[in-house]
Amino acid sequence: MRRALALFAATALALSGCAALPAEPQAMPSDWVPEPTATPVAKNVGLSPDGFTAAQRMTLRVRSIGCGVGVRTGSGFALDAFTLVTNRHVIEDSKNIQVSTHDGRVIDATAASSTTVADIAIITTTEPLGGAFAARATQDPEEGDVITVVGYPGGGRLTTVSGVVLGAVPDPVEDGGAVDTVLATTAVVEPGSSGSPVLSDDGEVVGVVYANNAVGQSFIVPVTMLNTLLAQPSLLVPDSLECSQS
Amino acid sequence: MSTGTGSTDARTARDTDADATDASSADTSRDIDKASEADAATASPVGDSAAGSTGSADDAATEATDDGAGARQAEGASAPTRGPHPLSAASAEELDDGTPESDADPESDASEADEDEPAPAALVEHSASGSVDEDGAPHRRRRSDPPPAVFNYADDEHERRRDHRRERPRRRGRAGWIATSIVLLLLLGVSVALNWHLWNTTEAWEARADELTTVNYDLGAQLSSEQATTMGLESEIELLSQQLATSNQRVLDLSAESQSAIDESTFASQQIDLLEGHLTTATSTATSLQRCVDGQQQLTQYLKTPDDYDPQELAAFEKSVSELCATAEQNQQRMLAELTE
Repeated sequence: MRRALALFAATALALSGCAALPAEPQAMPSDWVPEPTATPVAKNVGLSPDGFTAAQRMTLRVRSIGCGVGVRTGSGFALDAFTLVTNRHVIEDSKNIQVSTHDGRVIDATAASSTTVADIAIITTTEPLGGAFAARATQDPEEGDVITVVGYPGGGRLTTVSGVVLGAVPDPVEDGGAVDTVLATTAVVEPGSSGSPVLSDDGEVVGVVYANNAVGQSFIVPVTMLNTLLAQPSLLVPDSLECSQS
Repeated sequence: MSTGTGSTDARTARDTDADATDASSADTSRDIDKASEADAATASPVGDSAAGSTGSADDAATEATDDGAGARQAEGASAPTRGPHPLSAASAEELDDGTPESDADPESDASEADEDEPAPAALVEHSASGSVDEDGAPHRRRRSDPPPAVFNYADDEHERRRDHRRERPRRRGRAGWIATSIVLLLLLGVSVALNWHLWNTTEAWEARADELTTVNYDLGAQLSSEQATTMGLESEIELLSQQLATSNQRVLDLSAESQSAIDESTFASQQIDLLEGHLTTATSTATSLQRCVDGQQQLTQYLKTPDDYDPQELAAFEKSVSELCATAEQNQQRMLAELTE
């Protein structure tokens, strides 16, 4: 009986040992090198077809040819392919408005409209403006937020400056037309920067430059006002692009 | 120790018997057993335990020499119990020593003797009488002790039983050896199969390790090549990025210059338009002034000889000249006003 048990135990031990025996390797795999993907750049939104940033591509130069002698320049930014935003005082008393892109293309404006509640004007074109358009923020920047202004100061080259939001202040421009407070910033702007987009760190438009003072402060129309104007087209009055005979 | 000595003698005899059983024939063993039983049965239990053995005469003699003391002790121990015997102690010693017991399993033998054979009256008598060992203690029968020397059945029956008892351990031993051999053979087969499997597995894994090493070196070479290519491309990208940045700055500069030129052109165009307006006004003013001058000169001639002309016509001409000069003066004022803007 003990021998039978010993034999059984030996057999069980041998079989259990066979169960734990190492197996031979499987077939040699050959797919450990993945196929390269051909679209790694598609996810990088920082690049553009011509090497310019989206802020540079959406910022436009506005030339306002008045009824008298003289050419007035300003800045603006594209809302879509045929619409841009600038200041009302940039296009006042104009008989002709031209828009220039960052790469020098000149586009004639076909219509303009402005409002009396803020120094804001909307210009439309028949030719497409470009490939980059503004993304408007839903809230105004707060005091201390860093902002970036892209524009054509003095009607010159495209320039980018940075600053910090100082806070809400009353409209410093006499008869500026603003019915609400505006925001003061430390970004240095010049004549010609009027209508420049003010961008947050996220690249969203948080305001529109419209004035400056002697101490180097700039003033911007908050984006909430712009959103309100765009949401209520009745507040925008079309401007005549013809000179009055006087 | 007398009991122990007797037992030792008996075991020695059994061991010897176990060896001798394999070397001798059964017939010889049986014949010798007969003789030894005949003597030992009447001699003593110890002598009987040495009886039933097989083997040659020389082995028996040798064992007799080795076990002489034990046999004598057995004889001495049994002598008081068994009483006189037809054979002398010496002859019994010779036979007993030459015929060791062939039991391979003394315990089973003893138990069988206890179970199968009826307790002889002599043994009962022997136990009841209280046989005494050398140390004076009463002798107690053990399983290893030989069966009682006195039997009441026939010799053939006794022989048959002894053969039967002899054959069972032999068959058991043979079966054990066979079973052990089978188990060992099975284990050997399993071990060989296991070694064969492990050998093949090791060979396969060694081959896989060689392949992986080769592939590893190939991948390392590819990785190095790709890294070199990547470094070259990164250098080119950096250079191209610098060129692109420079080109973009140049584009912005040219765009600004272009826009400025357009602004200037537009302004110049406006200036030209303005100058053209001024020129038109000046021309008109000059023309009207010239006509005023001409009219006043003609009027002066007419007034030198007023009698030659109708006074009404002369007055009308003078009025027209005055109006012409007034218009000329207005044009002149307008021109001056435009020039001062």
